[in-house]
Amino acid sequence: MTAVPRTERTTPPATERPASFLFPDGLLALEGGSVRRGRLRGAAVPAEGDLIFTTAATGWGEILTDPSYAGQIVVLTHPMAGSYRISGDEMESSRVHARALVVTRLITPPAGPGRSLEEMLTEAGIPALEGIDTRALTLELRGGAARRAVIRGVAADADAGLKAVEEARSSATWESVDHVAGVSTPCPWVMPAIGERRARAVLVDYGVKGSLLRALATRGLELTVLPHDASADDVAAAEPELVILSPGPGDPARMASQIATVAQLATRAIGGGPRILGICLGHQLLALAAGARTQRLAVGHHGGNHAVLELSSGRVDIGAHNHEVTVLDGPELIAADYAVSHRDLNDGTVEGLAHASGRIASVQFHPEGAPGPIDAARVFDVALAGAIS
Amino acid sequence: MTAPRRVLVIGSGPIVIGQAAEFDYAGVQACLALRGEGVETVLVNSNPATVMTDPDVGGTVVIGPLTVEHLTAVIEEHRPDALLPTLGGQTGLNLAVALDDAGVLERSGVRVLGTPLAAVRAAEDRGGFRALVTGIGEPVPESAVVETVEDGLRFVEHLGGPVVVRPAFTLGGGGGGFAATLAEARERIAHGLKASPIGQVLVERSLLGWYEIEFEVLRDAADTTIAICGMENLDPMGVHTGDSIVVAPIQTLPDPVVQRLRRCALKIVRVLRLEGGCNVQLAVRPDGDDYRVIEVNPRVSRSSALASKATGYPIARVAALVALGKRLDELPNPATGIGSAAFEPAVDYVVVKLPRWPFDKFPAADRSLGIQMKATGEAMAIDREFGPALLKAIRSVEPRGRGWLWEDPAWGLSHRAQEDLDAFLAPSDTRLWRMVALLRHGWADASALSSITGIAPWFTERLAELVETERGLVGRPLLDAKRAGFGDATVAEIAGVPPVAIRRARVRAGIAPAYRRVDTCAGEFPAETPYFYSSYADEEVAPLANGRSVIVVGSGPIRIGQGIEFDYCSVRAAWAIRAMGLDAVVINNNPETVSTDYDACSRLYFEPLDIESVLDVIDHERALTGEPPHVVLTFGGQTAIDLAKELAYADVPIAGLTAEAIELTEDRERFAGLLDELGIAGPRGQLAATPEELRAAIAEIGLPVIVRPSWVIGGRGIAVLRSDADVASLLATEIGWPLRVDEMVEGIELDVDAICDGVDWCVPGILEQLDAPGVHSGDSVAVLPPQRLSRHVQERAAAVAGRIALALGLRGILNVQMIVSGERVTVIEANPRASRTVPIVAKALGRDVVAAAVRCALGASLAEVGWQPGLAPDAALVAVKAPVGSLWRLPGVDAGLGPEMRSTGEVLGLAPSYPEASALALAAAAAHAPAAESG
Repeated sequence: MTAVPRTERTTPPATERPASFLFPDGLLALEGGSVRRGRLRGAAVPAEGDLIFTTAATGWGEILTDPSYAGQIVVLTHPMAGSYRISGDEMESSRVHARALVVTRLITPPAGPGRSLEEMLTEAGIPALEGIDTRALTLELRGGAARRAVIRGVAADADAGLKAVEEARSSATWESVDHVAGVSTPCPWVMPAIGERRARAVLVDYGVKGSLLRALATRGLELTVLPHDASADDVAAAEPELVILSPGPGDPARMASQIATVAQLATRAIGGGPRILGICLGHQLLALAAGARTQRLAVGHHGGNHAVLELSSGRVDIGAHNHEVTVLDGPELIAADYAVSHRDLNDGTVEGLAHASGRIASVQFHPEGAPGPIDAARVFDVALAGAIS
Repeated sequence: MTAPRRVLVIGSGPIVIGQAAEFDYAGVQACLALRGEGVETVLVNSNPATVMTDPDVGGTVVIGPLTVEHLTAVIEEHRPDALLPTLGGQTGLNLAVALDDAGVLERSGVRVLGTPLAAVRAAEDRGGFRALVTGIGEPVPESAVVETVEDGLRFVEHLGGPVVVRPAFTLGGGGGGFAATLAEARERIAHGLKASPIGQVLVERSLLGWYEIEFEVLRDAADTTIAICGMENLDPMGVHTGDSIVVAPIQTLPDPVVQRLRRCALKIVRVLRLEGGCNVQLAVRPDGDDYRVIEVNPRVSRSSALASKATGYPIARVAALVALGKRLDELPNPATGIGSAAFEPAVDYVVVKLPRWPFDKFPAADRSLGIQMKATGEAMAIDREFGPALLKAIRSVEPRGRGWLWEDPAWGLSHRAQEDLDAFLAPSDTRLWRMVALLRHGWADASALSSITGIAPWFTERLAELVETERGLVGRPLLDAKRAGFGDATVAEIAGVPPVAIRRARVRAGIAPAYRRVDTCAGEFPAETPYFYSSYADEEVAPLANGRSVIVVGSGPIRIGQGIEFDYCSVRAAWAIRAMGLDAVVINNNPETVSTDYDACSRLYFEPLDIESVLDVIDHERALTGEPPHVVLTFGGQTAIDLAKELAYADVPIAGLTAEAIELTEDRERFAGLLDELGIAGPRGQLAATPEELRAAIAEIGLPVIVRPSWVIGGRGIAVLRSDADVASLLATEIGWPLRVDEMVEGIELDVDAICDGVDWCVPGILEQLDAPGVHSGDSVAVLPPQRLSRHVQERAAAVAGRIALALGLRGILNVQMIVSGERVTVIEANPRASRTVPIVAKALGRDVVAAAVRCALGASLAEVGWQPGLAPDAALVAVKAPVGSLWRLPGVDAGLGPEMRSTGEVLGLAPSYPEASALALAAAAAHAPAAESG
């Protein structure tokens, strides 16, 4: 190997290895066969999951604790990760849901209050693989690479890469796992309104984020949070003026029982029952309940920079996106009296639905941001106004 | 809104500190965008060294004074029905407001496009702005608008803390300042009241030490508002952002804080109802829990140019279309072509901007940095991580010997007491190097640096990390050093080997950078932007090459003596190359410029202009196209020409030029020999290697004499000695021996540009200097064609230039400076490259001089490019150039003229007769004189 020439005059005293010199002790293997070497940080344990990339440059605490990332290994396109300490306010749930992090550079942040990203990973028992050229990896994923992947140590294995590729190929697919059951609240609970109570709502928890709960509660909604398998009658028993179908992880197409419940709730809403606001997974379940189809995107939306057009008003908002699956715009939606209310301006993806009755609305993006902008937070105000009227 | 028919675009005039090439970039983008929509443009600017003032860009171009009177006349003559005021910097904006105040716009039926002037006034009037911002619940620093010193002092006493004084309606913070004591405050307020054209200053609580964050925001008439880029100043509040190291995207703030600041910026732009681009500056308390709105610039700016280059999102072009009433969501995505322009760029790299200051030319100037901008230019670098981007930015500002390792022995680090580190680390042009030196020698750690300077610990820790890496470099794999960002020259210096040895080792081991695409979306979508940066990372899919490539080496950051004129030349060269069906490849690192717009060329490499990066791009282009690229150095000023020798060592042929020819012109002894051979008179002179030899030479030649070192740029190190006292004071300075001592030839100084195809030559035009020889030609008023010389003498002068070009074996362009006294023509110097006079000649003649020169350099004959041999006939118009300076901004600089160039920019008067042209030029220059600066 070519080395920097050594001369007596400038030879420094032996110092410990600087952080920028990577000693590869871990690898990332994709089911398609590509293997990249990097350095294991956080908890030095293997991980498997679906690789997705996010273009958000900040917000690691929010990302790791967002239940929607369950089952996924998150690739950060921005090369410098962990630059600041993460405070408790940035936690979206009580624990980390992502399976692992793939980064170019994991920074040890300056001293101060809060935890470092690496401390958070270690406590959660998940690894990060550092030293990966995440742009190259992102281009590979964008190019259609299959997304099951494995992170593991290389140890003394000569054929660790091959083995890891095999492990990736034999791992469970993201679609096959019931991620929602793993992240939903096990029992009902009530979140009081922050400030004056203006309405009562039920939130069906498929994997809700703290920021969403806060965004609703600060608007005066008292929230009864129900588990993902709550029935339509369970919902009705709480006597809500508004039903919120929360975001969550996984493929909605496999959630037959929840889809049936949502269909009942929708029928009741159209007939004058409580109105419904669906967000992300909740939006997808509404579409499936209406007979529409969903499909996994070639490249999922993860980040805080996409613009969404609200078709009725012509308003454009930058929003936080986090979805692998999209609702397909087809005749089924029209037949069920749904119209596309929002579209992504980058790729035309359906980003919102509105029922002709005016009693059901849904958005695919995250009006609560976290991480990312909350420019479209009026979605909540509109839903609340409808519920109060 | 009905589309306008003809739009008046106001340029920003000459380059001054605080207003540089960024407005040529903005104006070019705007004009091309408007004309692309079928709208005619009328462009007014007094600065001839701009791309925008070429008719194929600006449409109807009026080169003349930027004054209300002149603009009124232009409006009456050309009858535009609309005005786009937000692209010409503060100058353009102020003129639009003045035209409106004078009733000219209403009288002539000219409506204002984009941001309404009411919004401009609201943003610019500090009292009104403050009320507006607090009205929407956003915090501003406690402040008072005062018109008398007494009122100001009463407020300062009430606050009981340090304050900042900002005069209303001035440029780049002119006349403002920081005051820690009541006495200082009194002085600042009095000064500020004088500097403000409306006699009004804002006295506000100083936020010294808070972090400074900027957002570039775009809004359209439908209220779609997007933040294109958030940027973080490494230097905390107290240093003008133009003098600050700037990093994008924001690195140190948590997402909730970034989002809060972004929301604040968007809210302000919305309440102001701006339609177009806007810069919002915010201060954040280091703990992130509190912030203040500092100011808003309701126009494109230096920061928006930086944001455009940092993200690949062309803010000015989109802002111009928004001004026409287009909606962001209806415009196509400018980078990917699919989707819409309504998105916020995501970047997967780090951008670092370093300012370039004129202190190398003015060692006596006060080098401290504050809220008054002192930098003349800037360089930007892109890499995957902060460290490599910073190291690349250091290489890009061309600090002449000030690489990463530079330390000034005068710092006396080893015997510096801990307690005077405060003064040692006060904001200055060398603070970065001072911090690195302290870290390197273990005299301070990152946290000590941060607590002294207020710089966020994240940054000082990155510096410490780089120092740590530097320390462990020897014996490590070379690839590690390159990945960490260390340049070949730095690695060589650390290892004690010549730089070429590092390159050789890299070539042997196949260690070369990959070129990454700036795509606005962090790889999420396919993009075709031909915009690249190097990184020691995985190879990316190569872009398509259409044919053999021609590399145009740019001129880097703007500095005194190397200004926007070389950007004009580089851009015209790239366009001419593209028109020839070849791939025009540009290497440059100045984010302000047109040449670093990826639309201006086939492929743009945003790189340092040192031998390492230029050779890397050459190798990459060779691999891409399968052929060695042509390399054009003649349009990038001295920066590009300085690469010739090392390129020759690397066996890279230079289009139309040899390193030998450059050597011949720059080694004054050899040049004198060449002139002798050609029978051309040169000044009598000799070389002096010691003070004794200097005295002997002066005794023989007789005073006055002119002394200079070889390899000069902008007259650096040149001095005129008129008396024994001058000789003594020269000898008291640090001199780079040997010096060439020449007689001062009296007469009329000429600037002659010749184009040569190797067989024939032509001279498109001759500039006559109106100041006496000894005044640097860049600082002299000049006229084209010469007014005091017969055509016969002019032809003789042209022939002298032509003969030198032929003798040098040149194809392309040559600049010769000569002095004519009677019939005698004495050659002073020759530069085998485009000079600062090229754009003036081009504007006066209305012909593309650069295209002819670059085509000749690539092998065409003069006949093929449409020029007759010999001195071209006089143009219909007389052109008078006048210099404009901004050295009043630099305390400690003597403003007297001499052989050391002092002006930062220039204006042109074009008219049928000399007196008219002269009057126009003087009026144009007067519009930018210090007193009128802000008007």
